[in-house]
Amino acid sequence: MINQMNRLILLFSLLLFFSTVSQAALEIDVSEGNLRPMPIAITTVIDKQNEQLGLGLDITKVIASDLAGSGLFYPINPKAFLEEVNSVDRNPNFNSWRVVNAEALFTAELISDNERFRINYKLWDTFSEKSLEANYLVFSKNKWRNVAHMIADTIYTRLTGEKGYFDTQIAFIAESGPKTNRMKRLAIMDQDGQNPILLTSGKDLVLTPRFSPNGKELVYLSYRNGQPQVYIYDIQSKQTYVVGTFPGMTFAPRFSPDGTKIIMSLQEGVGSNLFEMNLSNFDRKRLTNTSDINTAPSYSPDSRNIVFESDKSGTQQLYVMDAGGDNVRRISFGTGSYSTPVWSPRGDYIAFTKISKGRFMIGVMFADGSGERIITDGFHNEGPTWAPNGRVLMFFRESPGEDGGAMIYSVDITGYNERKIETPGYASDPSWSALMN
Amino acid sequence: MIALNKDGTISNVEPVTRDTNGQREVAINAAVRAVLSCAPYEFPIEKYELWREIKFTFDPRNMLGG
Amino acid sequence: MVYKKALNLSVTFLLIFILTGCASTRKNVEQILFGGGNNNEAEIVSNAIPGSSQDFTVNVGDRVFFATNSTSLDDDAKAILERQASWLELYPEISIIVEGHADERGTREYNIALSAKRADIAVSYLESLGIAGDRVETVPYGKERPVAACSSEACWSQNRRAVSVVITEE
Repeated sequence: MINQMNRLILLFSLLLFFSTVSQAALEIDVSEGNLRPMPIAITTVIDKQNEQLGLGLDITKVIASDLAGSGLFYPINPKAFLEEVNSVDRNPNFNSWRVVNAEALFTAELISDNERFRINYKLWDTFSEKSLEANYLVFSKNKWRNVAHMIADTIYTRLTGEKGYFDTQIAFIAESGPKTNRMKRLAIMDQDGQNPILLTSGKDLVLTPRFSPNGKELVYLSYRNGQPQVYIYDIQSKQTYVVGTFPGMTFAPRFSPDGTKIIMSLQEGVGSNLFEMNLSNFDRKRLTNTSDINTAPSYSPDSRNIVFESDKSGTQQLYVMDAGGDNVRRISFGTGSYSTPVWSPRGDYIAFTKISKGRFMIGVMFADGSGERIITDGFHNEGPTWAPNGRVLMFFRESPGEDGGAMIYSVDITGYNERKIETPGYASDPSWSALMN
Repeated sequence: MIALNKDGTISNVEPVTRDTNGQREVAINAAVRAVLSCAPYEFPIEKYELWREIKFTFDPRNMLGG
Repeated sequence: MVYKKALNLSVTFLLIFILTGCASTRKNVEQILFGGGNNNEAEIVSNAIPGSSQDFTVNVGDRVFFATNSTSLDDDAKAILERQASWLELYPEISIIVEGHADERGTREYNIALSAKRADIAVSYLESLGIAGDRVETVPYGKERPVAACSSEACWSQNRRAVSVVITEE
């Protein structure tokens, strides 16, 4: 529990309880604190050779946007800066950064050699006057966004102790057309909504893409042969193949954490049961065998357990079982029904959609079902997906009515910092990739 | 552990716990920044001996509702 | 009482229709009132060719409806499926696809499974009435293909359905 708190940037307020006065030192317990974004000075990447390219400025903007978007940082307006940074090699005048309330300072410079770029960057703690990071990256120009995201990830990690999540992609369904006949297309974009790419034509209805752990493939549902079946899309080669031939519809697919298996539902008569398919030899293993709807499976990150939803109690509820299918136990007991469970990449939480009193909510609970917390609540919120660091969720929110549609949002698991991801049109079914580089 | 001058400014900050593991180090850095950013401290000068050295214990457990 | 059992028809022929609620704000050329059985409020003027999909849709009734999260057939639904079975016995060369659907008040994957179950239960009833299983396929659409787009029970009740579609040879 303490670790979960530590990762937040805390300024411990000094509302103190004088507890015990022992020998020499006064002892003070600080158990209250403020949760507020950490002010950080992000100076423009120095680009002496190529100022006209504006690449240094572009990278700076992406870094600042990533950090601000996390809700944990407050990039200080550069107009307030008292010191101009001309070199990353000289130590900054820490006092002039403290005066503008910067607790951390980022400086960087860009050096280019033909098509290759090198960025040298440093991160400083302005209070302890220590260097927190000094590093460089070499890249070709078309990778500049990745580089900016990677640097933002490093800053995030050094200042929060958490892995970052900025150098990631989102797979989603791009939607267009009337509600009664929506065109749905497989698509990917950067985590910040940039670089959206449509992967399918829209001819076939497609749903529920999920990234493979290495980010190279998507597993998804397509109606390409009339019947809904699970397919894999290879992002590099743009090839598609069906995941096994089954007698009934297959749906609700998800990769295992090592990427070697797919877990999914197979409809058998009136029931839907969970199967695991080995991708190297196409062996299939049955995991449930009931006449209920068993679906939406998700592995724990250690692959030992599977969480899924079942209506065996009469309403949709969440269950955890051993990866082999044994030891099924219900974990959701609140008012209403629970659906779309997704295990956090760090193993602690399970995110879900909860339906209660006609409202659709996104929530999290611990893997044993305790500590349920609702993060957002409204007409229709659905389908959470975890950032690779397990601190941020994306989900989609559908607006009501004939012209209603879905948009993707991100939110911190504390419930703070909800943001809409800008997409070209309606967008649903987000799936967050692992870190790309 | 911090040592204070008589004017309430800080003469030395020394984390009692040291750790190079990411999260704990980050938390320690945050605590040190918090202590530094709140200086100078205003305490009664006649009791300087009492507050010349202060040991802060940071426990963030109460910060979030769980 | 007015039954708003809307159908999707290709626009090749015209019917008189009555629509209320939110559905009336839609372009309703394609949506017509279902008027089979004892429903006197719909006047059906049909010149559909017997044995055609129009004949099936208009004179037999191509769809049954379900309660929220339910997959059970009520008496109305059974009556319609019984008429479908009689019609299919008249035209033994015809096959059908039963599409399962759900309303938008469920999560995507659950709704796919729920709609599959609805289609399957409709097919099982047809089979119990003597229709051979190889004449009937199912396709579950979940909440992906509503016929009525408003966000209230007036539309949701129309969307929770199993629709039998006559397979027409090209």
